[in-house]
Amino acid sequence: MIQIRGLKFHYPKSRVVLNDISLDFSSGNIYGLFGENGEGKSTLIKLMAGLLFPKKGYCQMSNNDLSKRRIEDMREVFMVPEDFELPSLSIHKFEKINAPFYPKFSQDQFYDLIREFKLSPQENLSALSFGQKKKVLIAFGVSANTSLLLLDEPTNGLDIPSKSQFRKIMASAVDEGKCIVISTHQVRDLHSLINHVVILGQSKVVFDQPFSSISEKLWFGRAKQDRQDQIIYTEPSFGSRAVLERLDQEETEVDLELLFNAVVSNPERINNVVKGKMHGTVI
Amino acid sequence: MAQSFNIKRVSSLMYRNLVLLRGAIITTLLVAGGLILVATLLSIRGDYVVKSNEFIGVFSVLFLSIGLLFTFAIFREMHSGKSSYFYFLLPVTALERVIAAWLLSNVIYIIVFTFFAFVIGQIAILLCSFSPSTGIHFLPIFSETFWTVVKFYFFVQPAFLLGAVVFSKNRIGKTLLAAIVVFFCVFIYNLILCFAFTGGAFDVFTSDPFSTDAFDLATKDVSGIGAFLFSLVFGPMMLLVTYFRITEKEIR
Amino acid sequence: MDFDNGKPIYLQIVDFFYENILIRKWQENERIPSVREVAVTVEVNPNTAIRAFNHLQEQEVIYNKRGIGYFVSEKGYDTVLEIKKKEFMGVKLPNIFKEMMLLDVEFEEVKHSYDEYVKNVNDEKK
Repeated sequence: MIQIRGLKFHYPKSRVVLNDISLDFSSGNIYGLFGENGEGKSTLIKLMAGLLFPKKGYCQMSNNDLSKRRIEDMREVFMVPEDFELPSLSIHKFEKINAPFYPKFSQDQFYDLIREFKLSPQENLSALSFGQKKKVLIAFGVSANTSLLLLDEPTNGLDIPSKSQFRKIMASAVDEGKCIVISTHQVRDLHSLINHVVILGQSKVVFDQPFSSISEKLWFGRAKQDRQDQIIYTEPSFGSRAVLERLDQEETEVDLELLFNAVVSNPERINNVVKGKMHGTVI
Repeated sequence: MAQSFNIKRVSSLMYRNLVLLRGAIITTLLVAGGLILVATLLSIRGDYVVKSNEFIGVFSVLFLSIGLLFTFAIFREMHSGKSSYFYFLLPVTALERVIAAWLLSNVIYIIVFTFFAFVIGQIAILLCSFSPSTGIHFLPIFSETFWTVVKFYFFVQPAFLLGAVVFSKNRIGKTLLAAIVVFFCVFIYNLILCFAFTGGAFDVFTSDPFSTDAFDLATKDVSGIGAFLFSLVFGPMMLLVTYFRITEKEIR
Repeated sequence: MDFDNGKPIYLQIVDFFYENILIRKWQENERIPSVREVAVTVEVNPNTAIRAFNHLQEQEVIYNKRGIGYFVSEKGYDTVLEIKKKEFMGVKLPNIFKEMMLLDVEFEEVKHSYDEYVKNVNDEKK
């Protein structure tokens, strides 16, 4: 659904934030976009929302550049930014002035979500905490039923029960026609939701794999003595967990945090394993 | 294929702008209403009648200044870093954004503010009619000066619309400054032209009665056509430039 | 649902189904929650839930009525019992035996505490 090819971006008079990015996003999936701070996660999200324009390459939705901001495409995109301000209006009024622009917006869904988040339509946005405002925006974005929903650090500012509500809502929001992209550095909050991992590092895509390939090729856990030589990455502390080549072992749950650290420390090695290139062919 | 211009989206956008600015609009109207009321009451004092030149003074000052403030207020959302994302995310084309802003801050504003000022002035007259010396009469608002002021606003306001989009900080000041600079440039250009035509003899206008006649004639004809062409081209051109500025605008 | 780090989430969902069937919360031929409902309850990607449903269908524990939903199979309970028994004998017991050897626990000791446990449970039932 979204196609990014050779994309390069830098802010005016600033270093290159994204360089030669090529990615595909398709519907029915929840993508996790990871990267250390300043690696361009938010920038990529904004490029996908048509709010920034690539310096080179393109970012397209069904073969149209998103930077053109065509009405057909903008209707199908919603973004919840990391930091934002909302006007001083009641939740109800906020919905009333913004919903008409989104043809697939569902009022029932919006007010259900508002209730689920323990808010009331009459409450004024200016009286809400940042986390609550974020919930309103998330509820709006989900109810707008756009085919692309972009969430930048959505769990920042949410308390623990709200994080759980958030996961439930995301689990219910994704369907065949929807593609959700969540950028975050709080890997733990979302690992059960995501089914495709994209990791940015040094202005490039260093990892881009579906969960199914990761769990097929990699094994996460405490390595036994006889498997020490298959360790791809291990945490430098006592009795710690490691990433190994799975080979014929039982499938394990993907440990996103471990995977992230493994990729950041040595992207080439882990990519070779997941992409099925023979171990040790590169001398 | 969806249209790039849809009147329903334009009206939704205008409604959205009004709701977002409703606090400021109400306050401004209250203040303006108070000022108009007081000014009208003062002008009734003495001769028991509101003369058109008395009313138009306070009207044009308020009409122009509030109009400009309103123009800039409409685009405030797109310059604040934390709210601009929503404005640009909205599935509305740049054309619709320009048209909505123009309709609201120009056509609709002119009609609504005129009506508002008229009603307030009329209320002042009615209030005074309790005293027997003031006869009930209609407020003489539609004078020649009124139309000049409205025409001026109608044609010059798009420049401020552009200023409201182009500049992100001190927008009003910068726009006014830009307007003054443009004015001076045109002025100096004219001076140069005059100098070239008359060979430096500026006194041609004052000394020779024939030249004075010619100059008066030229002013009448040429500036009439000039003003017409200017107003025909200037406003739409400003709107067009505004359109391109919005199309190219990225957020930070 | 709290996820145990090692086991794939879809298998943990399968276990959750097995448990509900074993404690007879879900009877044979009874309708069970949909993929979406399960995904929302346990806060996982619906694709993960689908994988769990597919696994259960392959094991013939549940079946799908088109357009209506998923149901526990006629022999659902027996199948689950068999699967879990096999898992207990094949995986859990050897682990216990291993630990027994390590801690030098005699089989007689274990039998004794087992008998006691059964007795207690039966007493409570009365």
